[in-house]
Amino acid sequence: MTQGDTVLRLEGVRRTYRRGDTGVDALAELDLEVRAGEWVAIVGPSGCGQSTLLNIASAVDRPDAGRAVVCGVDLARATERELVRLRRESIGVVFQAFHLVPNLTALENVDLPLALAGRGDAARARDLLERVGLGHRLHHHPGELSGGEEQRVAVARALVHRPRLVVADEPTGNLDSTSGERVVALLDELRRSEGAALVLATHDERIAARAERVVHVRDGRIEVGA
Amino acid sequence: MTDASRSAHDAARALRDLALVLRPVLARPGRLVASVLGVAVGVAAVVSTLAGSGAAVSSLGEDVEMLAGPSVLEVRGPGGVPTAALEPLRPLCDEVLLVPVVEDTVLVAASDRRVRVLGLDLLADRRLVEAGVRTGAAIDDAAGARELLFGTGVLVPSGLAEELGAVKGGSLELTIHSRRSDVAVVDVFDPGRLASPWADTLVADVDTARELFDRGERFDRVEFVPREAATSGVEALRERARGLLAGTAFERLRVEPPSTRRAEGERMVSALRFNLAALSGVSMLVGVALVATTLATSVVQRRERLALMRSLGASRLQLGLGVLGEAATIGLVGGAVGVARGSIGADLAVAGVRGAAFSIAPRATGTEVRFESWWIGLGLALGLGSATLAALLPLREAASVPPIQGLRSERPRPLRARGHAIAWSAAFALLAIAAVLLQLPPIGRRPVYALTATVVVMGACVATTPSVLDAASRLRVGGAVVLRLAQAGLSSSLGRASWATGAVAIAVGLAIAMTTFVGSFRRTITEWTEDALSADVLVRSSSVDGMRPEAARAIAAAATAGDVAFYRESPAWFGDATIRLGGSDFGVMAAHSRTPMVAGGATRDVFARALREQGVIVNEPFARQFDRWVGDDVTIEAADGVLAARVVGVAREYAGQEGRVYVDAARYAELVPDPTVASIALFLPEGADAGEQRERMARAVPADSDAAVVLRRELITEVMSIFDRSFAVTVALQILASIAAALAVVTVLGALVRERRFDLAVVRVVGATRRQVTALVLGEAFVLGAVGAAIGATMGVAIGWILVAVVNVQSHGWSLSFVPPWVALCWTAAAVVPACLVAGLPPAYEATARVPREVLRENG
Repeated sequence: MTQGDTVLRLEGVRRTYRRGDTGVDALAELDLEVRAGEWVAIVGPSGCGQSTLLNIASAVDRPDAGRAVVCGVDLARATERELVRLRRESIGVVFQAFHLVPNLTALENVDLPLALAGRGDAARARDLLERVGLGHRLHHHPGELSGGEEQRVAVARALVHRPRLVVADEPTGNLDSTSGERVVALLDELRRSEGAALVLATHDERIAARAERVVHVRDGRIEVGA
Repeated sequence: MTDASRSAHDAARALRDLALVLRPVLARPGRLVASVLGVAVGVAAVVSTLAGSGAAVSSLGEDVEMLAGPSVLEVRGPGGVPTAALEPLRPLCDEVLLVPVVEDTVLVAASDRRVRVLGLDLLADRRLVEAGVRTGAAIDDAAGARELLFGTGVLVPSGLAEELGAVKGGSLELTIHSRRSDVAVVDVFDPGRLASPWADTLVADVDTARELFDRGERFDRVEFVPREAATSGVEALRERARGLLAGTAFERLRVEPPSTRRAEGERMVSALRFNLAALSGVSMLVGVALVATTLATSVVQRRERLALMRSLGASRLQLGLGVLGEAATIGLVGGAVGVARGSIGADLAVAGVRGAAFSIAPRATGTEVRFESWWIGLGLALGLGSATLAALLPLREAASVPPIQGLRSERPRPLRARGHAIAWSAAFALLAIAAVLLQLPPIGRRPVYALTATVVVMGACVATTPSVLDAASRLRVGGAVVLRLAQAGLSSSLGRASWATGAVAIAVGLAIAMTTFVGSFRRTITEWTEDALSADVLVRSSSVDGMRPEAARAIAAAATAGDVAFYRESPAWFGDATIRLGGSDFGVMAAHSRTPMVAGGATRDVFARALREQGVIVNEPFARQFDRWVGDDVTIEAADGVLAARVVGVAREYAGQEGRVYVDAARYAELVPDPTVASIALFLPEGADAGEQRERMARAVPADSDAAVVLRRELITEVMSIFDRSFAVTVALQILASIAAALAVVTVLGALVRERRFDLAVVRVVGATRRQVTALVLGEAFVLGAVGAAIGATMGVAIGWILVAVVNVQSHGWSLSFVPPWVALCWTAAAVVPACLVAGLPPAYEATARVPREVLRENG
């Protein structure tokens, strides 16, 4: 893979949700391209379509019109099985609310994507947890971790299967600034070492400023920098 | 505002409040209907069982005093009252009318209808008129009067006449002493009010009745009806009557109020009614489980709304009251529906319990069910009570909901060591309480404490559920990630998962307990019938009062091989208790009987010793009820004398729960003048043709007799088929309990899936397939089912043992062999887990039908 490969290509993507009798365009004719290893920050006000964009990028949603290709897979044409495979092998996701599986240990949570694919690798999970500074918390459950620690586990989980694209939706939204800074630094460091692109949605201008490219979304369209 | 408009306003407000309370449960009408029906089924089972068993045996209870009319005392003896006993009592005539009565039960031929025949002094007895019975012109009509007083005429109540097709001037065929007898219908009378016991009573002259029932020179009792000018009180009369009988040949007769007879009758059937009520109470448990899961699920679904309410100022009490309001509504509606269904089902219940009632109380007639207003109160109280009980768990759930801010940061709380210790301490404490309860004696013959112990054992097993489930969810079984996720899912919702596991455990436990009890009982009966029914050919009467001696002799004489033993039986008194005194040829029994003995030695030795030492053999219910065992002395008052003898053997017996004392035929004949034969046993030598002897004896049965001649094998088959029919109801209860368990699994898993929708969506986002999510939910169902089945099996065997070894002994006086239900346990393992997997399919579908993006959008 080279820096020039495209991991996400959105062309004229439209996504409409129905609210009662009316349709609301979450994304309208949106174009975006993210190259391998690139860090793109998505910035915009609430309700701008940011989450819909990330859902499509993480292959849990499909556009109503336009073309969305993630890691070489055209979402409109992909079967359910292909989408699952795409998520398993090529995409990592970090949520604002962490969404670790309660009552699985930190180690089990990180290993989960590999285990679901039938190739669990506790050594790899352990290595990543040590790299995010949680080598001493391997067997702790989410309820026993701080918010910052939970998000670091989530970062490790997003990268454990060596994805080509990591999608992070407000990963610092539930954290204090110090923890947030640390999580973003780790995310950047790990995705660089693993060679993954990062699409990160944030309201924090300081974090956005650290990205290689900032994309502003408003009313479902790219405003600047696309 | 006027009073009227204020009332209207209040009513509208109450309706609005009710609608608000009901809105959450109305949102899921299917589940609401299931809950209401669950309560209704339980209430209907209890109401119909109580009403049905009450109707089946009412002739022994309240009817006694209603038929007694104005009489204040009655003279009774174990074999009746000799007619000559009226003579010493004659000085009482200045105060009372001495009214002789003969009362018995007959079968109407060509139907299995049992009716009471009451023989009264129709010229002197005022009770018919006082009871509102209008006899029309029968007594005034010369021909009718002649038939009534000197022939075999009877008065028939109008409802019964219509049912039996009897008309004035016609006849009615009755089966008395196994022989068909025609009686003339002199008149049809109006029995007065609908619920009158007269509606099931044929009225005859006392001498007609004496003749019909072969009473000889005896009445069944002599009643004292005070004259208008009487001045003595009841107690003074009683003392005077005792004084008059003292020193005569009749001094053993007793003078008692009619209420004593009523109390005897009710005592006889109280254990049956109690046990039936306890059995029907099982179905109430099912209703409780359904309401509990419905309400609990409804609370889980509304946690966010409830949390928001708390943030806006609602107190825990207000949330709790909302849940209680829902429960009360379900309970009241279910109770009302249950009463309506129960009153319909009571007729069926009468038919169901009639056989059991008649085996315990052969003189019971079995009446139509009469609607009683107390059923409404009972039904509503049961519905409300069960629903409120079921609301305890949801109340706890509702009260634990934090304000919305807390809900967002709420984390699952794992069960720590202290939680495990509390669960097991509670279980052991409950088991200790159960052990103490099992040591307590029954109340009357009602095993109240032992049955309470079964509920306590159930509680002990359920108390361990969270701990066992937590241990199961920590168990590492290989690398299957979906099973690990399933375990983690259950572990994170341990409280709710415990409900479903508890429901499965209770259903499995009840099923295994019933199977254990019925299986042990059946095995015991099978072994007992093989030994106890040792006669090769048996002749018996279908009527309760046996065969006339001449018919019995004719049948017995037809046998050309083997030894014949006649069995006779009559009521007798042991202290204040009524028992049965049986007489058979101990010489023949010593040679052939194989009736198993509880104590006393080998069967044939026991009979030989009894014959040699003039001893008696008692049955196990007698020995247990009166604590008389081998070596103890007993004194029995019979019709013509007192038997004082030593117990030489205790026979195992399951034919009835009445105490029986057996003496040799010769001694019996001295004690009881009634020569009626209850049954004839023919013991054949090796190689004799039983079929041929049966044919010979059957041909000798008089044309007017309904005596039946059966082979041993046929009798055993019949006994077992009656047994299986009697316990068919337990299968229905098992099905009900299983449905409740399946619904609990569906509702609780559904709630868990909805509650964990974010976790499941995340699992899909990180790469799980739909199949894996389905397997995950089914994995949870598997763990719930497996843990529930394991706890339920333990519970079932324990409760089954209590039913076999304690409840049954206390209630019936029967000792049964405890047969561990290995087959049932295997079936449980084979059936419960797959059933839970099937129950997990709807929640699994729900989990995979949710689109991850929609779930994630919900969470921002």
